[in-house]
Amino acid sequence: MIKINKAKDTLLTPNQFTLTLKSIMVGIEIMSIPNFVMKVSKQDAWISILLGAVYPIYLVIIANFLCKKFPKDNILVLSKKCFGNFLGSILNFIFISFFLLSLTAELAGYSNVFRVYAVTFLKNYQVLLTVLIPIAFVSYKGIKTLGRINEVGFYLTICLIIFPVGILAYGSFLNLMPVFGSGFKNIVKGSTYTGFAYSGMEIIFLIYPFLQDRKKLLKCGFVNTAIVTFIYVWVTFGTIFYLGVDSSQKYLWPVITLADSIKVPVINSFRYIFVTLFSLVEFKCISTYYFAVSYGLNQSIKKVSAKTFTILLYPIIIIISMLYGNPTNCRYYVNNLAPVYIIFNLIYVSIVAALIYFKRGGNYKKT
Amino acid sequence: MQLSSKKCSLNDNINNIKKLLGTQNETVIRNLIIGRENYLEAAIIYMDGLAKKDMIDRDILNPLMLHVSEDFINMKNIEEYICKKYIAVSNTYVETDINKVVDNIKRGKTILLVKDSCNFIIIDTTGGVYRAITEPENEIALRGPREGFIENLETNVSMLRRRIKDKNLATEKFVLGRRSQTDLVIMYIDDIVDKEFLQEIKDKINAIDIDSLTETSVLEQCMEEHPYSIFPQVIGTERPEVVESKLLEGKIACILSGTPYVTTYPTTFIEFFQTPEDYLGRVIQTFLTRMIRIIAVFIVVSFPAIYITLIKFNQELIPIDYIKSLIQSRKGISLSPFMSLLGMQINLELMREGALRMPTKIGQSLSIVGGIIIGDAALKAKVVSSSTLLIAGISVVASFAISYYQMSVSIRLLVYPMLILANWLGILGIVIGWFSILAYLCSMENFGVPYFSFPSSDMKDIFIRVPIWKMNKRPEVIPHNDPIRQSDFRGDKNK
Repeated sequence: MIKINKAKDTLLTPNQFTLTLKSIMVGIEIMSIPNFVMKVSKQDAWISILLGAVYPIYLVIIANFLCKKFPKDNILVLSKKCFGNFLGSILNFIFISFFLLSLTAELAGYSNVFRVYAVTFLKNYQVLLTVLIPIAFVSYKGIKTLGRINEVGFYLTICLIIFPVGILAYGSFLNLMPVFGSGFKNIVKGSTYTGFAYSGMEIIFLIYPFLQDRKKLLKCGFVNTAIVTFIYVWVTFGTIFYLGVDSSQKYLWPVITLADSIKVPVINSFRYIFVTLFSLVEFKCISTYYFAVSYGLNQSIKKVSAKTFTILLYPIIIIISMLYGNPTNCRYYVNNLAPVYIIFNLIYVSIVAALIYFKRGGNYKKT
Repeated sequence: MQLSSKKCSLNDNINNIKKLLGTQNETVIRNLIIGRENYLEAAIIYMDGLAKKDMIDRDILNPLMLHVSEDFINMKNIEEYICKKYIAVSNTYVETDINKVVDNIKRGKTILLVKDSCNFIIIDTTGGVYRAITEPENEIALRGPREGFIENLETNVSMLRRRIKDKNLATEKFVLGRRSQTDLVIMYIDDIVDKEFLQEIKDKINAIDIDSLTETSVLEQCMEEHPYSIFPQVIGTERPEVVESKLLEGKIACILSGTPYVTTYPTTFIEFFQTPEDYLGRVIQTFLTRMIRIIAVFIVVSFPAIYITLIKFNQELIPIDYIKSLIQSRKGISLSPFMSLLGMQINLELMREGALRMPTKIGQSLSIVGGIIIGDAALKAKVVSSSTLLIAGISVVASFAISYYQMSVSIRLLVYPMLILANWLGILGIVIGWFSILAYLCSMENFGVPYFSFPSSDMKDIFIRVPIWKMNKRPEVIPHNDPIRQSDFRGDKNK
């Protein structure tokens, strides 16, 4: 029986849930992910990326465990139960600040790419200020709007993934040879560089209470990881196939060059169209991060609604995003901060899960 | 006013009815005598123009005045006896509540009053002149049925009843409008419709307190959730077969007396891009026409904006051969591309609005003056370049491909904010514009039903339309109680 999804019970269908996870994971880092990994694992970068999927899979398994135990409480509530109010709140804020970091890094990164390829005449603050308005609107409207736009937007993403198929006519398989040539050690080492690309999955701990059918959490998480891994592997494979390992390193965003394989008579550069379409993907990603931050803050400080947080965060996000500066600086900060956060996230969710597992019926219920 | 408990005089009854009906109207009161020796005084009351006079003469007055030879004195239940024996009209019954009696007179029925009786005989003589059933001019399907709704409520309901013979087809009647007292019928299929949703619609209807309800769109405005939204939120049609298929999806139809336009609730965005013809033609053809409609929306909203972006900010993207001719055509034009395109768009809007309201004969000269003379003169006067004119023209032509006028207007209006955004931010403006449109559409809800949502199970009938025998489930977006539409009767073998 299909019932109307009332405003009061804000639930996501499994499809919307999966695609919300997908939206938050695939962001601006897709443009440069091959370069990060290629530094170490060379032509086998795509295998490293495949291995990198272990991180989101681990998160999904932990989330599924927590969801089974406490289907209605997100991790912020659980951590307070485990660590007590004070320590719990501090850890929660660090957890939420990770989303803020990713959000601003995405926004700054987007502004950098877009100003290079499409709107050279605009200044950084002009791009940031205007772009954030519709994004804030989506976050302001809440999880249902977010779920729907992520679902609708996915159909657009498919086009974007299909576009670079044209490269198959221009590249060379020799670029990928020899497979496993860079050594198993390097491949594994390379996979650690995929952290920032695969991050974002942490939102599953915030939004699993929104899933209509909680039994499908594991399936949603795995399907999403499969989609995202496929996209990353395809893009990395494509870049190596089309550009080769060495020339790829010369670009800041090698993936955009894949668009060159498509030639349309009415326009000189297809990169322009590629970046434009990519904007919609990026906007979904930033909206989801925005929602995660404002909803997370609302869960920590219940007196202030998520909507108010959305408005309050707007100037803060702009200011932080402006601090990143040019693409190289931006990348420097992200590359240094992201691993710290990812290690924190791993430890944080693992400890929460472990405490809940061992303290079954213990004192966490009383706090 | 219940009068049945005491003995009532004929004149009192007539006066009471007169009072309730109001004095200044076309009520006809005809006194008559029933029987020969110990006769019975009686009267009939009806509203001139609403009742069929020949029917009254033939089936009520004639038998009562000329063919009664018996004596009614001391007979109990005279009204029932007369009803059963002398009145040759099928829908006849005895009523005691004078307020209901008055309501019935207003709807064309005839009332028979008998001396010393507190009961009223209501005889269905509803008539009056209505438009005949014709094919709706504004919605044409080449292969569909040729009938359309008319202004008569009963006929409209009967048209739907004739199409859906299911015992669960339910109708509920409301009277709306303090002064107009317009009849509204909501129709639904009882075991498909979602009861919670039905109750919400009923509550909304019951809450309406208005002077008069002239049109379905007035009802729409009284009920809708986003009064300032640019997009239409309720779809309506004049075609019974369209309403039939919507009822079968679990929707509720609102049929208002006096208008041939029947609306269905809830409505989703994509319905405005589907036409009855889609379900009659070939699957592949339907896919192509639906794609064309979607491309049309894209063209209407973004073509002028993209043109401005390319001309103003990103000239390097235009191929060299084309840019030469562009520069040549723009030679000597002082207006900026944005201003000339805006001017041209407004000019075209004026023509379109004019052509819509003008009688056809004047409309032709309007299109000649507007289309040919102004277009040519604007080029020669160096107000616009030929490419600007081409872009404006394409976007107008594309707007005609959007089948519903209401939606077409909404989409057209989106051009202006898009133009301004493009003139300010270039391609970024267009991207922001599109994302805002999508975000806004996704945030809209109609009575708890998402306005713009494409669950994967409904994709069978959104961009593509799969063969009818594959649509085994009702659309998931529409709340309903019975998800199965049909069994998989062709099975896997025939897929």
